[in-house]
Amino acid sequence: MSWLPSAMAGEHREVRMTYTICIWPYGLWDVVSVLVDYEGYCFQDPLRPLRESVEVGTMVLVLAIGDLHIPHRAPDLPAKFKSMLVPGKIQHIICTGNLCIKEVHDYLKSLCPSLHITRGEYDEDSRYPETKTITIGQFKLGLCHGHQVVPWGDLDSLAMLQRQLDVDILVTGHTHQFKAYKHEAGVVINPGSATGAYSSITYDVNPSFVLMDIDGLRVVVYVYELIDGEVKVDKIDFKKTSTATI
Amino acid sequence: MMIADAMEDEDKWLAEGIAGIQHNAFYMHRALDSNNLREALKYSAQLLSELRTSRLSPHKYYELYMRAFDELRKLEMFFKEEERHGCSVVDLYELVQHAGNILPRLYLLCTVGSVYIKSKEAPAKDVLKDLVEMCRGVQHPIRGLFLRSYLSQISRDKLPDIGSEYEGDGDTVMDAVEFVLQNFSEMNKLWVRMELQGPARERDKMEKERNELRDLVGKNLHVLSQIEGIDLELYKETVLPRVLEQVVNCKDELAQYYLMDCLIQVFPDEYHLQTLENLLGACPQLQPTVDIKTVLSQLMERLSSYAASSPEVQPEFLQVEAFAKLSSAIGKVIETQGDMPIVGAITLYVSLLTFTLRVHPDRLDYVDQVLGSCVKKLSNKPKLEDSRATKQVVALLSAPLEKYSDIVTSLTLSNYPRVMDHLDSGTNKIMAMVIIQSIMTNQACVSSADKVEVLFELIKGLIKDLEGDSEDELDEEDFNEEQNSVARVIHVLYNDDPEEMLKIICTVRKHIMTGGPKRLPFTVPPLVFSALKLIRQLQNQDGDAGGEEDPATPKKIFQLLNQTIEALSYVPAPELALRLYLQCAEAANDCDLEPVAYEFFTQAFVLYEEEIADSKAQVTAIHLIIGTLQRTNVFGVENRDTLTHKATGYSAKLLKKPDQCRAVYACSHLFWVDDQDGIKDGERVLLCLKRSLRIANAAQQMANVARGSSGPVTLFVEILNKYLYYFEKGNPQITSAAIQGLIELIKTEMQSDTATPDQISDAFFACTLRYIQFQKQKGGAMGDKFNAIKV
Repeated sequence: MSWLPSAMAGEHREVRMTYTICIWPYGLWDVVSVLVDYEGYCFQDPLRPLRESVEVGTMVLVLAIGDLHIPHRAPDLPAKFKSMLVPGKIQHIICTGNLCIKEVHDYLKSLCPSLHITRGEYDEDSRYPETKTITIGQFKLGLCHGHQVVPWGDLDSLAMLQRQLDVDILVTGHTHQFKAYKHEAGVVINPGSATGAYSSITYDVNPSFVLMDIDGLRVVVYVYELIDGEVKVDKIDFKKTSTATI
Repeated sequence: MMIADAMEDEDKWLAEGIAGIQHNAFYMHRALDSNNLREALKYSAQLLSELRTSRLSPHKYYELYMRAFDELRKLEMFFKEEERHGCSVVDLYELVQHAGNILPRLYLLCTVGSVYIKSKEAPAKDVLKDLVEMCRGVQHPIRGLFLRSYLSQISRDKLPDIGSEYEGDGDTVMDAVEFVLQNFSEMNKLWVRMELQGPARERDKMEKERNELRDLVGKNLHVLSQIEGIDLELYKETVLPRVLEQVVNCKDELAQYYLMDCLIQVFPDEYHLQTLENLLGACPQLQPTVDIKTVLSQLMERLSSYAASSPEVQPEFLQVEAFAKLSSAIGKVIETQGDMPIVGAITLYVSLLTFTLRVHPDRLDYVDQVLGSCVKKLSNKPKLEDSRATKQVVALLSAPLEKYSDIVTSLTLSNYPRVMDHLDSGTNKIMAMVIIQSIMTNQACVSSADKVEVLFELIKGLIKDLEGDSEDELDEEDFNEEQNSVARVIHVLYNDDPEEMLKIICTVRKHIMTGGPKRLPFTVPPLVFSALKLIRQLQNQDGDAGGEEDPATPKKIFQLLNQTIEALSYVPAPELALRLYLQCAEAANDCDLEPVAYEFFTQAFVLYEEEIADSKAQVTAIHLIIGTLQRTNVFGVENRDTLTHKATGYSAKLLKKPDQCRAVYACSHLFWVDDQDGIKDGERVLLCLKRSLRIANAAQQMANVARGSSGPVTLFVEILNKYLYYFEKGNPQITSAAIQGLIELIKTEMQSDTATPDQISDAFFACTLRYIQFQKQKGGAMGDKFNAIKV
């Protein structure tokens, strides 16, 4: 297998456009209102597949979220995020950990029953595993909080974990900073802190989470970030070619 | 059986009565058709005689009355025609008085009287006065009530009201009022007398029957309210005093409650507002058993809706001092009704509070005053035990929270905590939770130490054990929820100004430290992070504290943090404390405070050595120590050596070999920081990697001995990856030969006879080799470097 950027993707983090209003990709957004309100995007309308209902069947939405640190470092998820995250839209949640309490676990479970969590160093539930792998469609995803990987947030060290777990996409947290890298062996994503919690590593944390739209060999990563009270959305496109080289 | 019989009998009597009416009506119609006045009067009188019965209940009597009423309408029509035929209405008025019995006579008189007024041959007031006086002749309560009700019915449209055709020539609205009031008084007397009649055992039945008749009496008030001519002046000077006089003097519980309620419902709110003093003045004079709180609640409810209807009426409320009057009336009522249960009194205060919140939202002093009165009422009892009363107190305390989305407003109410003190500890906690939820949902920010102090006073039930709390009742889930709520609220106690923020932190700390070992693990972390945020804010400033006497400096806050976290070790919660110490150490590093950072590391290490015994917990702790230490750059050589030496020592002493191995190779990063000025001690990196390789070997041998087969090669592949990492980073100590050797070692291990097939390790190794391949293909310097490795 090797990774090739899709036609539009650039070198690192590919930002297609930034909204000042929140947009759900695909099924998360009411189709009619989007057609009325947001006609004429400057890039491919993410709603088109739904309207033509061609690719809908294979499309899977995965919410990647973590480092909420409730109630140690933040009282709750931002209200704007809460109003966006509604049950029934997301097929899987992968959570890197540090929720930290059962209430938050139950909340995530209410959004989507397929919930995968790894253990952060502040989680009260000690049953969460240190790492976890999940296969969704043609992608193998790896999950780990990341405090175990020294130096923290170091891409090369995370790449080692990715090789160890043998996954296409590795999702980790701990640094509270959104990151999406692609490198020779796949993609490494850090959804940041959903509450914008204090971090000794990152200053001025903005609340963020990631939504992955997995469709065939393509994964579109939507990053939702709360900046000065406004939700901004970035879109990054990755494509996997299944030319095995082993 | 007796009741069934009685009901059967009643039905029989009613049927007989109806038959009598129908029979006589038949002959009356014939007489009417043949224009025979005398016959008509004779049969109508006989027909009306059926109403003389005393055997029917009000309900059945009403049925009979309605039959007769219909017939009387026909008779009235006839009288009107008769007048046109030449028989004067004056004569008719005389003629009907010849009827033998008083009841038929008066019904006929009222009927003719109605025509008389219409004819305008005599002033309306004279006829009305005559009729209302004559009706005194019937003193049987039910018969009298229905007769007067008839009078009221037929005279409604003939009152000399303003703008009415019967007004003028000395007939004034005063006469209309006088007539209705008199009829009302007489009816009320009859109604009240029902109570006094009848044996005691039938009291309940009588009470029920009386209740059925109440609308006949109330109808008069309704008629009064319809009289156009009653302006505020007339209402205030005549109508209200007369009605109230009647209400107060009748000394009847049912009548007083009903009529007060009726009075409030039928007259306009504007009148009530302007006559509040009179209206409220009557309340304490009512019988002690009257449900006055419902009456007053309704009055306040109406008045506040009135206030909300238009902003223009607002000044009126202030002008008449509505709040003061209501407040004092409620006080008097509670005082005079000595045996009113506490729940009744508090319900009244809830109504008054609702009133003032709706009418005078800006008058916080009013709100506090209501709460104060409530405290006074509660003060003779230490704790409330009545659950309904408790509910009302909760309603009382919740009302301001709902009204003022800014919680801070409620915090200024001095009587608020005093009311809370009267709640039992369970309800007190519930109320504290309501307060916190209100803060959270409104995203309010409590921004001064003083207000924080008040807030903690309010929620003290959650902060510490209070007297009377019983341990065994504690539900763990509830307790966790409560403490998590407290933790949440700590985040909204915030001020931009560092001095004030430090004061807030000190206040919070003072309170949560009293929480005891069960609460500290919940409340200390949010406080620590709140303080760390402040430190970061200060760190961004230029350390110029201005002339402040007691400036907020990171150093000072770190001292505070040190003492705070220390409290956790007595809980004991060593794992949490260790994490928090490390967070502080890193923050101190960022502030360039070497001794402080060293102190925090020391604390963390002491905990690690003395308190953390669980092997899994040790593994996590050691990774956190290494991760943090790797990021610290504030230390001089000596301090750094001490700490890294300790950390590597701990790593090598973990219980399980794989954990040892992983921790030791992680330690290699302590000697190689990939920054510009980062430490780069290639030799010690290599030492770590070699040491981890030795441990991996030992692990493999142990597996061979213990299980007869070698363990997975994962550890070797992990170490290989670390070699590659440093190789790539340009550590001169890591050679391609060493890497080559490691690859060969892994291959050999994998092919050995005793190897356990392990897909995960195989895939890991394959991925690693592919990575090497990828680096080779990259070309350039890196490609050249990797080309030395053969795979």
